[in-house]
Amino acid sequence: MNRGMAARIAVLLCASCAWAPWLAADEWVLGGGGGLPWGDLVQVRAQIDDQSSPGAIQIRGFTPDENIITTLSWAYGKPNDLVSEGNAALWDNTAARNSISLSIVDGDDTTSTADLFKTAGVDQDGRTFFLDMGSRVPADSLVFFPRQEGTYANGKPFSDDFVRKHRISVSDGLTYVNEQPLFTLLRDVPVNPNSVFTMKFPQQFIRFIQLRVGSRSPFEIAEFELYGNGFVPRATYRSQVIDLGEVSNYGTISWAQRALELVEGELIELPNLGQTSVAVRMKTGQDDSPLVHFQKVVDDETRAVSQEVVSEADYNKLPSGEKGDIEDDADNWSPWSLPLESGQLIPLPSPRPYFQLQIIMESQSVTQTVRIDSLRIEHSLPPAAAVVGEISLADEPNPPADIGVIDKDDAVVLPSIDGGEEVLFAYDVRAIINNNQNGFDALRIDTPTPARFVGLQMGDPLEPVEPDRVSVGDRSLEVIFTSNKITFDNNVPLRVLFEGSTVVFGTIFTGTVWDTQSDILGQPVLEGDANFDVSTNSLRVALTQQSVGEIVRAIEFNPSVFTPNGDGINDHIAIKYTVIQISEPKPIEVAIYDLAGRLVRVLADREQPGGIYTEMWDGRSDADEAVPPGSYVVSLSVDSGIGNFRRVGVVGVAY
Amino acid sequence: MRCMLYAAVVTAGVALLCDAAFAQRVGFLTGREPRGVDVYDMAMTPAQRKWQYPQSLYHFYRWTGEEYSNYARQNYERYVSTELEGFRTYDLYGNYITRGFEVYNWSMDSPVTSGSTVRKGPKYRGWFQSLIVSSMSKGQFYSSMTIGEALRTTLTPLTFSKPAFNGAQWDFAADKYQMTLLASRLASPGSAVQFENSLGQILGDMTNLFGVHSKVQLGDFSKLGFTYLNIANFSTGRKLGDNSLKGVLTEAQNGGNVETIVLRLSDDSPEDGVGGAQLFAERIIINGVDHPEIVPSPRGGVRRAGVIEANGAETLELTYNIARDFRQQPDDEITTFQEISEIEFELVIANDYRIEITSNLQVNAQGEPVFLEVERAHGNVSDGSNQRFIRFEYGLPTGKDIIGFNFDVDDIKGFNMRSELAFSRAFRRFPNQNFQEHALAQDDGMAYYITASQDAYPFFAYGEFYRLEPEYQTNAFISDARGFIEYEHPERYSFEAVDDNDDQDRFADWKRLWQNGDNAFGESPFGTGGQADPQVFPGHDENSDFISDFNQNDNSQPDFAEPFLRYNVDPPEFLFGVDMNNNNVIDRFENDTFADYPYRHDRDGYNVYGGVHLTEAIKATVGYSTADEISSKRSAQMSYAVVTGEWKWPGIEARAFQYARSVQDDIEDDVIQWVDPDGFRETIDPLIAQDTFVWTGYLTFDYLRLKNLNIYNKVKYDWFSQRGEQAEVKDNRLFFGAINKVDYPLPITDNLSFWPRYKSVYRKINPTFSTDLDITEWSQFYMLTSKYFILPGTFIEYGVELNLFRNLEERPEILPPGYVDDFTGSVLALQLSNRSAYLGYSLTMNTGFRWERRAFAEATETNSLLFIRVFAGLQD
Repeated sequence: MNRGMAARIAVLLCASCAWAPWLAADEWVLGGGGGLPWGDLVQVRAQIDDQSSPGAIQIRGFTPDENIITTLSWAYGKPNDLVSEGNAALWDNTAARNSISLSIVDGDDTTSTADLFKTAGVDQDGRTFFLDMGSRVPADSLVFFPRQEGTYANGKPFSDDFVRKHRISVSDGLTYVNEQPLFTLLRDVPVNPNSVFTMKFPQQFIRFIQLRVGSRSPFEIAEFELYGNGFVPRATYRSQVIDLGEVSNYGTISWAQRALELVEGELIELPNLGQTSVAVRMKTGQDDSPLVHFQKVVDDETRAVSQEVVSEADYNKLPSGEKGDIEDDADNWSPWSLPLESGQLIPLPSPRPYFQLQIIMESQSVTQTVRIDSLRIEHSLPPAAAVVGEISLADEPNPPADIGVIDKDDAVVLPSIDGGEEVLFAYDVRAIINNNQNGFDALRIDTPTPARFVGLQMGDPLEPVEPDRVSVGDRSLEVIFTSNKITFDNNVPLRVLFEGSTVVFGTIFTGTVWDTQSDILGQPVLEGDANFDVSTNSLRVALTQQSVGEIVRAIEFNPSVFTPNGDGINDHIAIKYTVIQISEPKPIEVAIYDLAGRLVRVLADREQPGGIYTEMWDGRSDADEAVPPGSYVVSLSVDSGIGNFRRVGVVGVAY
Repeated sequence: MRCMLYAAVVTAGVALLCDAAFAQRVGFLTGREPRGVDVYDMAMTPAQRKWQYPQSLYHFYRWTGEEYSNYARQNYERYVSTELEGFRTYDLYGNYITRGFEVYNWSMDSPVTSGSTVRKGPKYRGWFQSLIVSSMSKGQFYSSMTIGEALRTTLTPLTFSKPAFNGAQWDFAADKYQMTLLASRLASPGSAVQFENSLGQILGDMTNLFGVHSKVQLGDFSKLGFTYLNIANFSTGRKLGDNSLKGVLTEAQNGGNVETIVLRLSDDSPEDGVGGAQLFAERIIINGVDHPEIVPSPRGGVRRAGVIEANGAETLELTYNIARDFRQQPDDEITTFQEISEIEFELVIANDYRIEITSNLQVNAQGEPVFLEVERAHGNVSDGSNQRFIRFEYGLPTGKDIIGFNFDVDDIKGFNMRSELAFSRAFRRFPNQNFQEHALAQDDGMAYYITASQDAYPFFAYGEFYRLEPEYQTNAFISDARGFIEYEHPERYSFEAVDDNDDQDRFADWKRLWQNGDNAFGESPFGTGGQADPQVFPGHDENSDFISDFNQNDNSQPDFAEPFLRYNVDPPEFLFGVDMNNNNVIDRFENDTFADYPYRHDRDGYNVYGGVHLTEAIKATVGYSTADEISSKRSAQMSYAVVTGEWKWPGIEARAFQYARSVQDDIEDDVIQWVDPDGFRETIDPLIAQDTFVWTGYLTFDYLRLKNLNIYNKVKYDWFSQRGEQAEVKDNRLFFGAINKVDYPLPITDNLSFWPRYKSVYRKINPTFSTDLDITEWSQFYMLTSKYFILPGTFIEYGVELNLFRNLEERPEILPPGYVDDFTGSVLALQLSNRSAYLGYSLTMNTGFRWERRAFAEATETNSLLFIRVFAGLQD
């Protein structure tokens, strides 16, 4: 390093120190002692309890004296129209759609259905009420009754107009027949002598209740009450769209959760999650709405109906006939992630300023709940405004137009290799860096199989560059190039050449760039056109058509004859095999047999997904005895979803 | 010599011509041939005066318009319809056929816009009640053409079997050969018109059916058969040669260009929530050229590491906007999307997928897209190991054909065999209004079965092997009068070559337009009027009166719950029979909504059993059965043993059935069962035999030896013993029921008789699922009826019934659903009956009342019935 360069580095370091307060990752916190209140940011709240433990949310539970009906938000619904989580609906089968029936769930026993079912001469047999509670709740008793106070002008009390015969059916909302909930009869009451009908039943989860009146005489209902004891099976918390205020990269997400069990009226913390589960999902976006609203537009001449994008505010003002679809904004927002794990790196597109959270808590036991005390999300300014990358075969930068990926606006073509075949890949990266951004000096490429670094090229045109450090893991390749850091002033494309392989069609070779000289979070490499001479515009690699359908490739031995005599030369044999296509762990067995078919040694008997694996055999049996010299059969067996695949090979043992 | 020969020929010809019979055969000189109009001498008279030449009024009534008519001597004769005897009819060659009426006419004239006519004249219904049979025979050769609207027709069980086929069937039979031709214009087979001058039903686009089945006797014991059935769209606007047995697009189907196509991928086994469709990549190929610029817009699904998945209830839709995105590629011969003649898709897909497709031309009557299935994964893979490239073309359905072969062996030293192999091909064509010829795609399916049995007393053996692929289909779309097909409306737009008719009556269980005896039965009280069979209870109608045997008086109460009737009728849960699919419903009572193939669709398996007659009365059978559901991973294996015994002695009858099986069955065999009196109820397979030992027994003992004393006893039990992992999630199930009945008809005098009866019903049920109720109940019924004849045709009948119901389970504090408390019931009934003859009918008048009371511990229910009923019958 010469003096000039040292001076430049010193300036850079000083400059980075001056900016240090801006270069660290930040934390966004929800709940807990110092975080944002859960209730302030909620968009959808279904059976969420944020009152029992301040600063935390948990699955809601009910006590035997708490009327479940009044804890829900009721609206008059329509038959066949199931409500979304967090809402509840009531409807009846009167011809005139009349929301008076909502009085039976308003928690006020002085209001009732009044005269709705008291028309003289009208047979009330068959009146049916449907209650949809939006989600399942534990229930063991219900009560309904007319007004207990007050009389008609003729002195007859309202309480006399009670339902004298009825059937109550319930559904847990899990089983549907012809898109209708499957109801089971809870009680058939041929004769009800009591104004206040009370019924106890074995506790069960209920979502739908159907009350069918069987008596002909007029009636009214003032209140319908439902009671239970325990925690609901599912609770959902969905946040509003969160605006971080600036474009950000996302690091890890973490939260503190505890499973609790109700024991003799006290909540006791469980050592593990017990029968509860938590699923946290997240999505990131470029704007403040993850939805796209459409307005129906009719062409005056052709009368053809099309849809145009409008804002949410304008959409809400439209008459119902002009309201079009509401779709996910796939252009500016990612879909919901798979359930994340606490401490996991958020695998979503970034940098983006907006995100949204969804937490679903479930419990298989009415006595157990799960509580989340707080949730944290790491974020930081990005080292670059955008980083794109594409992968290709080094000797075929423009593969023939073939099968394409399905969620890209631009046409992309995938480089194709035979499953398990080792090839030389070229991984191109190009960035857009603003003058107030750090840039990056490191690149990590996630590889599905062990890779071998071949070279680094930078500049336009690309020239070989010596990296400062290279580190190769089982499934990753890291290249550090601090000496040639990509910055606003030195924004050049780069290319990493490496040998590798893939075994599953369409594997993404994800990449991350970061600045080793700061604490800001790494930035994912997005698919795009990083090299104008390469036409793939994708980070995915396909398998050739002939290798799709082939689960196991031939076994390779190195050497084919080995001498396990302890002399340090060829004392072991490497048995390398490739399993293609299998995306989840499946039983794989590698075993050694003698020529008589007797099992000598089991080298591997485990579950693993597709990949390239190597087992080593030292020439000893399961009894740890040296095997006699001769030929041995190596058997590889993969038990896949479409059957058992087997490959065999012969190796020699000599001394 | 030559002249003599010539003269001889002429003479012979003249002689022949004078022979009337011969003249008829060659169609000469009957005197009734169409001749047009002749030239008359009188018309040559050059007079100015216009006289009316004598025509029909003169010929029939000697009347002319110019002569004075006076009816004093010769009375007036009324006009008589000249149509009474019909009209002269002629064939294609001008040969006179008969004087009568056209009863049936099906003709296709092409190329004519609306050239297909089916006309059924008024006499078709008036004279023949919608059924015409034209037959002939000579020696061993027989032929018969039958035209009707409800023909019970079967070619083979896998290819064609309908109880009420609307069409024409032409049969030929000789000593060793038989053949049947079927034909029908499925789109509109026609109905009888009202007037003789009314036109029939005229169509331009239609769906026709043509089929042939032939059978030949090989030797004395075997028969070989061949079947070909074709259902295809035809258009009379095309020349006959431009139509195709693979069908053509109707005008409505081909009414535009394909502008958007939507592929929908979903989980073929959504109930497991995982391992659904996994899509890795796609491409669209137009006219054989790749078009990467047409990028689909995905909607739905979950993205994960380079793949989009649709699990459980999720769906992934890929919308290809071809009209907007199509660009001519270097290899393209076309320049615009309007010139596209073929679109193919290639997907890289894995796991348990289901692919459906629609387009802007594949819509329902409301213009909404209708998805049709393209492909489904076999099995239920979830690890990606079945990843493959799938390629398919887009097209609208135009036709289907079914080809079948069958071979039977009858009784070669006790050996019998029936076998059948059938292939179905469904055809689709790519619509484009600019073309007359359209690219064809086809989907194939196969089905076969072989059953063989050997009887060698005392031993017997039986084996059956079968496979019915999910792609094997015998239904096809049919168009309406406009050529429109609504693909999601099977009642109107689907034809089934094999009907669903589980109760084996004259009505198909499902509703299909034109094919439920619409006109043949519509006016009959037993008809369905083209509707689905409203009452399907297989095995529950042994007297074939279309009324459930468990509710013979067809009221709102099943007979086994009705006073007095319940003595003879036991609840259906006491029925016994084999349940080979382990869905807890006896096979012979099952009702489903699937075509009645000999084996369940989407199944591959076999069943073998052998046995021996241990004695004349006792038979033992052991066997093994296995079946896989091809489209999923579900399977059923069962080892079983059956021992049956029947003994009869004078006045004593005993039967014993024991049925034990070891079962591992997770195939869902849902059915729809008839529950008296409510009707159909969907019965979900509870899957309670996934790893289970099942033992079912049925014993009856009837003692009738003593005069007038009748004793009947019946015991039934089911025991499901769960094993392995199933034992952790399910309880062992027990059903034990016993029925004992005694009655003693006691005639006191000629006019007076008593009939005491006693019935005891004991039930114990330990259910599989702990959420269901344990039941131990004992009901006793004491009945006494008495009949006193006042007059020979008049009698009073008095009845009293006492019902003691005891719930032997411990009464819980909180009564669970379905729990019935103890009660004592009593019924009093009095009826006066009078039987007499009136206007040739036998009238029976019943009047009386019935009073019922049920006394629970906490409440009492009563109800009463007063009635006057009169029945008229043809029998005494």
